Amino acid sequence: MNYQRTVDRIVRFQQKSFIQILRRTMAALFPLILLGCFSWLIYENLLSTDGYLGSVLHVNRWLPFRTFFLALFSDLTRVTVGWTAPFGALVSAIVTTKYYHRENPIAGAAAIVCYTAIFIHGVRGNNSVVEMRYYTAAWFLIGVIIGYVVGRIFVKYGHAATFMNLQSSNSDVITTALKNLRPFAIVVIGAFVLHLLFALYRQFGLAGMVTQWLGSLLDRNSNYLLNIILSFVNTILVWFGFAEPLTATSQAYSNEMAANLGYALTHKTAWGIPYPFTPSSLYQGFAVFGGVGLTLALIIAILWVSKDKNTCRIANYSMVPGFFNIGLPILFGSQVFLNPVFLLPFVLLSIINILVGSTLIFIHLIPPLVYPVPNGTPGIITPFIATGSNWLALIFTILLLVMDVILYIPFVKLAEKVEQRSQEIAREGNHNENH
Amino acid sequence: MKITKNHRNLLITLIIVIAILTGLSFAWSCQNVHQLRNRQQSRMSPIIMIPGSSATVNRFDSMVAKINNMDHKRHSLLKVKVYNDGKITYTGRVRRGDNEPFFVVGFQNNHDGYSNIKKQAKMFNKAFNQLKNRYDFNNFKGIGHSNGGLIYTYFLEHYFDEDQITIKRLMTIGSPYNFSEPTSRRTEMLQDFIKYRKNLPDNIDMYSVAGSENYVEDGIVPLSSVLAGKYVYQGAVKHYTQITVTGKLAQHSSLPQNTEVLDLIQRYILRNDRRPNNNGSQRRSIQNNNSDTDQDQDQDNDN
Repeated sequence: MNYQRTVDRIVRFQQKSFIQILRRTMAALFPLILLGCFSWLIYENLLSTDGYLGSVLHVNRWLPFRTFFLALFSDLTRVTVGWTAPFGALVSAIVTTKYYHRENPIAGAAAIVCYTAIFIHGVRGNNSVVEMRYYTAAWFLIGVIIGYVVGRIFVKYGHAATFMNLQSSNSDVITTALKNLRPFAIVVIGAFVLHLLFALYRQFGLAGMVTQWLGSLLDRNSNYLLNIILSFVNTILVWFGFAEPLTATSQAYSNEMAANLGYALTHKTAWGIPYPFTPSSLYQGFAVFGGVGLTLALIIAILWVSKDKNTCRIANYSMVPGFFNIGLPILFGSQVFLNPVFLLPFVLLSIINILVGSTLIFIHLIPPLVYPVPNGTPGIITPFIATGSNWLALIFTILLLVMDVILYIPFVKLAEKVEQRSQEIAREGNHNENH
Repeated sequence: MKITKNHRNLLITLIIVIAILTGLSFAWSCQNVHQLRNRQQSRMSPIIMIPGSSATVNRFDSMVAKINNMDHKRHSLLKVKVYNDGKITYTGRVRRGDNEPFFVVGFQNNHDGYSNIKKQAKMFNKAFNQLKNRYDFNNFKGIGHSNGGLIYTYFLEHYFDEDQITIKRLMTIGSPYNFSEPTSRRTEMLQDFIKYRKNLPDNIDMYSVAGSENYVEDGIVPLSSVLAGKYVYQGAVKHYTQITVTGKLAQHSSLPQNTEVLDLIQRYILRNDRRPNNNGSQRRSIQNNNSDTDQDQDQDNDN
C-alpha cells in the first residue's frame, strides 16, 4: 500500500545516524526549552511595555519592581533559550559518541568550546563583542551539526571515557583523559580556522553586504509573488532548524506599513490604504498562529487525535507559550525540525493561510491589517487588533485556525504510524540480537 | 468522528481562552486606535526644555516671558519636576488651544557630572513618557541649557525610540560636550556620546549655541567644549549648525536671557508663520551663513 510505503520511507530516513542524533538532542533539550520559553514569555510578553500581555493588562501601571523582574527574566531567558545552539552542540556530541559506542562527555565540552569559539568575536575596536544572536535557537541546527562533527572526530581519534565507570582506577582515568587530548586539539584547531574565516567574513563586511542586498531586494515596493516565495523559503528554513533569515526580513517594508497607518489614522478608516497587501502584515496576521508553521494548529491537532500520553503532555505544556506565538517547545517536543512528516503542513499551510487571508481582504470581507499590534500578540487575535477590532476578522481567523487544525490532523496520525513502525523495527532488532 | 469528553474539554478551554484574550484585546485595541488617531491629528508641538545643573524648573521663567513679549502668542509654561523617588509634580497649566506650550523639566537631583547626567536622562525619560500620554503630541522641539543639552543628548541616544513622535529641532545652549577638558582629551561622556551617535534621530535640525565673553570661554564653559558637539551631531542628524554669540550677556548663565539667543530660538525653534526676512524691525539679523536653514522652516507644517 502506498501509505505503508511512505511510512516505511520516513522510518528509514529517521534511522539515519544524524537524524536520530538530532531527534534525541531535541527531545533531551525539551525541558530546557520549555522552561526557557516560559521565562521568555514572562519577560517579553508580560513585563515588557511593548509586549501583548504587558499592554492589555497595563502591567507597568500596577506591578511594583517591574524593571527588576524584567532584568531577572531577561537573564534567565538569555541563558536558557538564548543559548540553545551551544547546548545543542553539547548534547549532540555526547549522543554521537554514545551512538558509536564510545561514550565520551569530553566531546560535549569540546563541542561547546568549538561552537562558542567559532562565533565569538573577542576584540573589535576597544570593546568586546559577543553577538548573542549566533547562540539562539535560530542557529540550533548549526549547533547540532557542529556537535555531530565533533562527536565523530572523538569517535575516530578519541578514547571512550573510563571515568564514567566508577570501578576504574585513577591511573586509568588519567590515561584516557590524556588519550583524548589529540581529538580535542583537532577540533579546537578546526574551530579556530572557522573562527578566522568567520572573522574575515565580518571584517570585510560581507554580512552587511548580504543584508544590504536583501534590503535592496525588499526595499522596492512589495511584490506579492516575491513575498509568497520569501515566506515559503523562510518557513522551510525554520523546518530545517535555521531561523536566521526570518529575523533579517521581519523588519522589511516598514515604510509601507507606516504609510498605511498614516492613511488609516488620517482618514479614520482602514479601507483604501495604499498598500493593503503589504507582506509583513499579512504574514504576521495569518501565518503565525503559535509561531512559524502554525504550531498552535499542530498542538490542537495533537490534543485532538493523539492517544499517546507523552505526546499529549508535551502538547499541553506547549499550549501556553504556543498561544503567544512561541512555538519552540512543540518544535522540540514533537521533533518537528527535519521531520519529513510535518514538512508539508508546516510549509504549505502558512502559504494557504496568507492566500486565504489576502483573498478575504481583496473581496472586501475584512479590512486590511493596518494598526500595529504589540509584541507577542496571539496569532488568532492579531487580525482582530490590526483591523481596529473588526469582529468578522476575528471570526475568519478562528475559521482559518479550525481549517489548519483539520489539515494538520492526518499528519499527526502519520507521525503516530511512523512512531509505531519504528518501535516495531526496534523490537525486531532486539529480538534478533537475543537469538 | 466521535466527540469524547477530552474533546469537549479541549474545545471549552480553547473557547474560554480565546474569549478572554478577545475581551482584553478589544478594550486595549479601541483605546489604542483612539490614542493613535488623537496623536496623529494633534496640532500640539511643545517645546520641552531642560535647565542646566544647579538650576530649577524656574530657570526659564523670564525667558518664556520675554518670548511671549516678542511674539504675542501667549505660550503657556508648564513646569515638571521629577523627584529622586520617581514622583513627578506639575506647576502651571497649558492654556486651551495653545499649540506650542513650553514644558520645563527639572530634577531634584540637579548636580553636575556624567553619572548624574545619566540619572537625569532616565528621570527625563520618565517625565517625557508622562507628558506624551497627557498631551498626545506627535512632534516636539527641544532646548537644553548647559548640562540640559547633555541630558538631551543622552536621552536621545539611549531612551528616545518612538514611532509616532518626532523631535524636529533641538537647540543646546552653552552645553559643554567635553565638560571643561581640552579637545585633545576627550571625556568618558564625550566618547560615549560619539559611540552611540548613530542612535540619534536622523531628522533633527540641531543648533548648538555657544557664548563667548572673550575668545576662549563664556565665563564657565570653554568654547572648545561646546564646539565638540560637532563630533556628536555633525553628520548624524539632518543639519548641525554651530552659532557663537558674543558681547553683552554672553556669559554662560545669562545666555537664556540674551536677546540674540532669544532671537535664535524664535527664528529656529518656534513655529514660524512669518518669513524671517520680512520683519527685520524687531530682530537683529544673524550671520548670513546660517540663512540656508531658513528654507526648511517653511516646509514644516507641524503635522
